[in-house]
Amino acid sequence: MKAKSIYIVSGLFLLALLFPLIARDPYYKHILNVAFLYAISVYGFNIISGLTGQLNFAHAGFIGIGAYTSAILTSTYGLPVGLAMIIAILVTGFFGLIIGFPALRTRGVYFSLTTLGFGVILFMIFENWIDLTGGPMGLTGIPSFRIPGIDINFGSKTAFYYLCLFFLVIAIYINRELFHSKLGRAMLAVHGNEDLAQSIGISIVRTKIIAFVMATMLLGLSGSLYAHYFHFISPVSFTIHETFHCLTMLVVGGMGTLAGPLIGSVIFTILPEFLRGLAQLQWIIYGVILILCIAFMPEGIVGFIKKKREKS
Amino acid sequence: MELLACHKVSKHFGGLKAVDEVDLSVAEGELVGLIGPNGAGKTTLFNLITSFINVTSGTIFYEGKDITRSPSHAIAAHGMVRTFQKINVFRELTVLDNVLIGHHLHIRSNYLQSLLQSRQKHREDIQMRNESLEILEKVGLGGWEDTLAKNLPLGLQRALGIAVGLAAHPRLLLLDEPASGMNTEETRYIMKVIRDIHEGGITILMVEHDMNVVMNLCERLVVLDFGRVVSRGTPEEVQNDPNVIEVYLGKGYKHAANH
Amino acid sequence: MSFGIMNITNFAHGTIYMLGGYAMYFLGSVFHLPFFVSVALSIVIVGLLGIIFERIVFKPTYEAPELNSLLISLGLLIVLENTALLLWGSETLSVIAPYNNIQITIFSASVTLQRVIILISSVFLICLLYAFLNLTRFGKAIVATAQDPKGASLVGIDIPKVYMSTFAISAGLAAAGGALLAPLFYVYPTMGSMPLLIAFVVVVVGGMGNVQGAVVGGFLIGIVESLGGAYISSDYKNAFAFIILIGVLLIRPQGLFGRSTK
Repeated sequence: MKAKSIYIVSGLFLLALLFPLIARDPYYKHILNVAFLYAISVYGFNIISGLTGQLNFAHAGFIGIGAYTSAILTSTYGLPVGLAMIIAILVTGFFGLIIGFPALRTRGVYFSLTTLGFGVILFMIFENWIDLTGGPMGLTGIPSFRIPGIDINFGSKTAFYYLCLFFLVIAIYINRELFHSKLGRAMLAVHGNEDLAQSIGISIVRTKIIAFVMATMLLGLSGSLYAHYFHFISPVSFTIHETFHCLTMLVVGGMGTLAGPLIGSVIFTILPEFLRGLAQLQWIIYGVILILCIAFMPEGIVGFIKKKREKS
Repeated sequence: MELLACHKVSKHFGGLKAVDEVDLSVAEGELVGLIGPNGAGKTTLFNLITSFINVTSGTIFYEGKDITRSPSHAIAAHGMVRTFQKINVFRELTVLDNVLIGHHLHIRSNYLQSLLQSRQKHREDIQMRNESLEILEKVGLGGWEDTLAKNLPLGLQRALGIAVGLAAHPRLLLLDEPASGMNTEETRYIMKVIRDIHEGGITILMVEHDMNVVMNLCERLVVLDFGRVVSRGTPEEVQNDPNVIEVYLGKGYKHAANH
Repeated sequence: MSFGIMNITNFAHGTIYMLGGYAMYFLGSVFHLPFFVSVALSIVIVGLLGIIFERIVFKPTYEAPELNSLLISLGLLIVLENTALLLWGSETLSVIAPYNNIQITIFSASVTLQRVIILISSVFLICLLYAFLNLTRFGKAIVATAQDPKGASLVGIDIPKVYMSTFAISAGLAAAGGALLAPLFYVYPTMGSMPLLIAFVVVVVGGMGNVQGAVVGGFLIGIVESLGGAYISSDYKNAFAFIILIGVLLIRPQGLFGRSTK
């Protein structure tokens, strides 16, 4: 990293650490909590869709798997939250494996549609398997995160903020190290030119599956955190519209970049709050922003800045 | 020793015999040319050898191992790398990143080591970068490392495609029409690059249309027409083979031999 | 048309269907125009809107990777759906079905004339499309452009015109669907979501760029959905289409009638 970047990043990180102390109103902390929750999932999205170029339209469905697994294990079976979270991550990754294996044999748009199908099926399971998921009524009474032995109330917005920030940093680190590693380059290769990648020994299917499982594990984490923050989940949070929401964050932020997912998440969590007064108009503005972004800045904000820098 | 051996390799598309019982072998250190009119099945044969499509019948051996059913990415692991007729590069990445990806098979540090910031990985990163820069020099792309592949002039894009293949450390390089679409200057340049690669110890099997390239570079030729081998031998022998003349010029020209 | 021939993944297709439905509502129930006139006008109006969409929204994405047209169509979907919500509210509106009272009995099943009309109209439009693509000069130009845009332009085909027309047809057909089904299923802003998903499934199952495939796929899915919904589980009714999609793609990743990529 160049010296200037190190200063900027450190400065931002310091700001992030001090934020809850500066902003007293829990409303602001809540906004950032939600933004960070999204960001973790969008970093997962970035791995499979940004780097590897495979659009996963079951994104929200997988977050749901993580959320429901964690919720059911803790509220119905009384498992400690930390353990439930780990299991949720593994379970979601496992589903990523069994869904990814067949899905990733299809290429390009077909993969998008297959995952779209799986996303719809997952939503229907959330809605209709009432014994397990509580159906449209959802699950309530989900406990907060707890570290056994340490007496911190993670139900508070501040404590959760730091918890979320912690996992966000992990998600960013995972992404960053992909950029510099053989695995990440293989993902870029698969995205860029599958034939060429194969000719130099990269296994397309293996690379895609690894990317997919990594992504879904992050989605499981995001879902689990979501459940233990809101203490209530229902199928309506895991629809295709949520996937579109996250996709917008990823695209406008910058697919395949390091800062993109975070920037996109923050923008599209804060923006609805500003636009809340405009009610219905808010979504229209959203859509127009998306259209304008793709038309004029398809590589996203971060990608655009990078391009400008390269030109000079 | 024999590196590549094709025994009666055939590919049928419905009723069309694109490749018809082709026997072909390449020994270590050779520079062999595969020629024939358009549609003779040369690229199809390449696709069969490297498993981009499946054979209908026949076997393909590499270093004595049966690779007929090996998946494409495994072929490179064996030591055989192909380039493509249409220019194939990673367009959105820099020239240096393109070649770095080429090293895929030979990078030993994995993602876990990246996460742990292992020193071995950092050392290897530097080594790979230096090797990549060397390869770029060899194909004449020195100084272009930071350019995006899609912004290179076409001739250099083709050189980049070859560079990416070289980074995979092949023992046998299959070049698919390396001089395709190039003017005289560029062709002379690619010929030099290929000659240098060959002299560096890499065996080459090359499909090519440009007779100038073929006659000057190749030690031995195999001629295909309608998917069948119609002639083999040195460039001089093949040039004077009446079968070959008929294939290229038609029946009335058999007498053109030795002129 | 937009998916197979223009190679655009148009997620706003469902909302165009929705526009057809609303057009039908205004023409039929508000202005009280006769049924078939309303349908025809809906197709024309929405087809023209389609041209506007194509020029403004999709044109910038032609040179870009395929992903971009998908994403931009998503933006269009969001804009259209919410504009509809804003302008017309979220209540479901009903459209007059003039032929609903008449029952016809075919074999042992009895259906209303309305549904028969829908069936016949669909078949008619599909045949019209097929004839247009294969028998008329401009139709063949469209098919040629789908196979090789550069070659087509070299031969003198007006590519922008082809794209505009193709998209207009795509929009018009979607509108036809919306208009014809409106009397049966009510009209509301999100009415396009399911048809969109089903449409994609149909095209993929049938094989991209293939009208016959789309027809077979459409019927297949329609039948399986109805039977599955009736005999197995009506909750999961909509899932059947996707299960078929996934099943087909697993066995034949190029669709039932599509060309093989290997």
